Amino acid sequence: MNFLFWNVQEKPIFNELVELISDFSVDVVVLAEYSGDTQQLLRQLDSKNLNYFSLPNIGCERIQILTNISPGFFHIRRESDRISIREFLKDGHLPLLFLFAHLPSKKNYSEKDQTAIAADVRRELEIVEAAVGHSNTLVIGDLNMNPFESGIVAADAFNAISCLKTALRGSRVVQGKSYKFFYNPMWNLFGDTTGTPGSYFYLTSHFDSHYWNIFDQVLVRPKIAKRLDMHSLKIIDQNGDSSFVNTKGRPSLSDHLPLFFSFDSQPQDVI
Amino acid sequence: MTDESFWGADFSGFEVVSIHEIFTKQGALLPKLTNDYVSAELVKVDKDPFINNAFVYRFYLVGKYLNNYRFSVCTFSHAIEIYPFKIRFDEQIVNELKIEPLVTVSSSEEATLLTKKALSSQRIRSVISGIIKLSDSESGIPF
Repeated sequence: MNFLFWNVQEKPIFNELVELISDFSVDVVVLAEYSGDTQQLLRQLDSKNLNYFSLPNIGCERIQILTNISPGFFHIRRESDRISIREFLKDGHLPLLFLFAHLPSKKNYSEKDQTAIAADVRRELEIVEAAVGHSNTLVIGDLNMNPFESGIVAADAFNAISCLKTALRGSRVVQGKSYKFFYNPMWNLFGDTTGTPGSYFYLTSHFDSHYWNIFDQVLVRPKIAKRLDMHSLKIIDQNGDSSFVNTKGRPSLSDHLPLFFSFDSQPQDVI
Repeated sequence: MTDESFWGADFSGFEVVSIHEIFTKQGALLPKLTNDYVSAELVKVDKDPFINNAFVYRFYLVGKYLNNYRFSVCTFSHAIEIYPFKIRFDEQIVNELKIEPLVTVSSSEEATLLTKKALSSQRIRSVISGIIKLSDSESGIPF
């Protein structure tokens, strides 16, 4: 399955989006800050013989999901304003749990707040993992935190780390309490040797400005991490003739760049 | 030693309606109002990002015919005394009612008024309606 996540900043990016979906053979498109006409987008896709559906929303209007897989295979489990948890159940595929998220930004929340919110989201997710009886889970979205920030790394928040070998231990114990790991492949995309240095650029007058950030992420439970094709994981700054960055290399269409990855959902001996 | 009771004679004056009672009572009305499609659940939770009192509760809407789908409406918390308590509603309710993200409620009258506004908000009506519609159409969603 091919995934595309993009925070489109309420920008009219129909053409670029349609081209991306087509060129990358995207199966699941997850959009944040999308304010366009979804039906028009679906029609535009249809005009290219791309048959996509929009997954119905109940309580999380911040996230729009389009897919070329029949919507009946995505079961909505739990939502708040900021997250939508859906289970993918289809014969011939691994049961999967998706947590789609657009978490609060640094404009209104401190790092401490963001960490506490991440911890709350993790608790809600684990309730669902317990209810569905598996933790084949991917977190996908604009987490508004970098992979190295407390809300992503802290044991009682996402507990997502950069080393799969370590994450495969399954969990770590802090103060007598066990916390399940996530593996965070996004660490591999830092720096400018393999492409754009991040998914979001902002300039601040603070001493410790990072300039480039990777707020848009996929986190995966270690047990299924090898199914994520690391070679496919990329922050896209160009597609054909369409550049998503300006002459300085900074995001131009939206303030975020899209994230793409492939995930093998065919059943093996994983569960 | 005296046998005199130091406890006072009558505790009835201290009977106040708690926020738990308000949510429990309102939650109990929901299945009847929605033909059993939607119910409510009040759950004690470990923590809340913004409220750190001893007792923390979260109020969910539940879609019985939608794999027990849950939508988080609000979280509230209090110390051993039930008033004052702090409550944090879903962000869209906050925006719609133009209230602070975290509200301190000091009395049952205030609690009743705030809860009434929140539960009759456009946002809650939209979520309830969404649960009903999706419950109805779940079997009709193409596979």
